[in-house]
Amino acid sequence: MIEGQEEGKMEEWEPNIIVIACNWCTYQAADLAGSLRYSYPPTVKIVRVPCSGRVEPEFIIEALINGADGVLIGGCHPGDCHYKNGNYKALKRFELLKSVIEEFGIEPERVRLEWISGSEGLKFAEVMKEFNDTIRKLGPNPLKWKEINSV
Amino acid sequence: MNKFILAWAKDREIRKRGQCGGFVTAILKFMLEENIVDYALLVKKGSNLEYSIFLTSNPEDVVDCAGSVLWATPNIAKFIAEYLDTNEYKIAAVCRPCDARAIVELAKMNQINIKNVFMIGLNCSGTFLPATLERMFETLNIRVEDVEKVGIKKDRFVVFLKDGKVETFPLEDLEKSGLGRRENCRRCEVKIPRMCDLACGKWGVIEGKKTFVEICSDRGEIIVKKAVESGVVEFEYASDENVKIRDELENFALKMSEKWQDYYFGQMSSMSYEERRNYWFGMFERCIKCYACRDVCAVCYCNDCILNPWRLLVKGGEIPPSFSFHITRAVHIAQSCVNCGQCQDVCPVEIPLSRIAHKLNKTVQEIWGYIPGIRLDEKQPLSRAENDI
Ligand code: SF4
Ligand code: SF4
Ligand code: SF4
Ligand code: FES
Repeated sequence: MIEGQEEGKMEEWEPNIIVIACNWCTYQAADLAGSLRYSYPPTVKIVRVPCSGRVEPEFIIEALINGADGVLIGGCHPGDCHYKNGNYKALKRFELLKSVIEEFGIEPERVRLEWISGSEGLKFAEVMKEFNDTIRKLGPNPLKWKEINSV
Repeated sequence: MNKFILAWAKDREIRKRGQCGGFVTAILKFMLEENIVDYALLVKKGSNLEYSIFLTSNPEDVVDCAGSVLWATPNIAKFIAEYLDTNEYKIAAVCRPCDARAIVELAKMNQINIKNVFMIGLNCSGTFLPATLERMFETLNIRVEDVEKVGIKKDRFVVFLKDGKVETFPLEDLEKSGLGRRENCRRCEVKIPRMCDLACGKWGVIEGKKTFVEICSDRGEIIVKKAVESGVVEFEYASDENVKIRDELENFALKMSEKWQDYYFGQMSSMSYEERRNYWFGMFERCIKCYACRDVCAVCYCNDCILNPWRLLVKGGEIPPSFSFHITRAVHIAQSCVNCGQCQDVCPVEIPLSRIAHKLNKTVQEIWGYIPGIRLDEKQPLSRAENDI
């Protein structure tokens, strides 16, 4: 049985959210949100990457399979990528990945892609709150490889 | 030269032994004799339901491989990419539409030098797995030893017996009972391989032993012209009637595929998320991680595949492997999958792998309008990085 799905345990469940953030924008925005005291849910764990173009579909798949309830990728706005087109690549892969996980029965809302620039601390906090709510509504990720495997 | 011709071999022996007048055999033999290509890549029929991929530089060998074998499902594209050096020598390959599409995809990914691969395509209504054919013969009370060859005519399965008798059976009934063509063939959406240099088949021929040839490239036209000039091949232009009949048969085959796609994909789409998880992850729990699906995939080629244990995504020694194995592979092949069905054929635990791969490719087709293996100059969507947001 997956933790949190047992009766009465529902309230104790807290979403586990992974944010894969581009170093040049979303990661800076998270920093800014912190220093400007915009609060965002503590369920969010940030992984820093040099560019959203670094995010391979495997990263997201691994996160989901190992227990993340939601995965968000943050990249620079179109035209602003420091490596010219990393974010366009990210978008393409993301679209494909979304269809793939849906086909296998994982809600596509569990993954999200957002463009958040370094100056958008407020946007960062708001997006995180919103995403946290979405995931909370969806409930725990039904797919946790380790637990399935240990049954 | 007109695009559509009816052609046949001038040599009487080849005409007799080849299917539809031996055009393909004559052209291949001619290309080897004239050193236009160094090797011909063919399929050779064995005894009963056996077959093998056959590579030869000897023109005489070609005649022994005449006739198409419907229980042969060789992985032509993979064979070329894996074992032949297309930068070193020229080959002529006989391929079905899925083989040809895989060759085009691999060429886009620089795995095959398509300049040195002359593709002779065969129209295809589908192929059979030898094991399924055996079971079919059993239910139809036919002895394998008596069978000369099998064929498909519109919606009928045709068995040619060695004593000259011909029996036909409704294909759809066989398929509904789990027999019949391979699953991917039922759903296949390319029946005439126009990405080849020559697309050959019997569709559109009204009478006589002739091959309907659609000339699809400049070099295809040059070869046919040369063969005609040397007196190896004879031809006449196809009439409007010929072309019309061929179109009708192609459309008929495509309609059948559409019905099967609706059946399989409709089933998948109507499942709830929970049902999908139960179905697919239930399947994946049977996986013994033999890597066969990856190894045979006509469009997989990475030297250091991410699924190798030292890449740390899939843990060494863990069986069944983490679901990452399957989801990752699905993402990787989705844009290029040509629905050749090889992955499904080899899976020892019978996971319907080509079904999910084909469905995902359909999604790629919807999002980016990209159909794999059709046009060499069309880049794969994930390799294009331009801003089309
Ligand atoms: S995924 Fe399967 S059906 Fe698709 S190209 Fe690879 S082997 Fe063929
Ligand atoms: S599964 Fe992916 S990494 Fe492995 S060979 Fe295929 S495309 Fe390459
Ligand atoms: S062929 Fe089947 S059993 Fe082998 S690795 Fe692929 S899915 Fe698993
Ligand atoms: S540098 Fe931020 S997305 Fe490429």
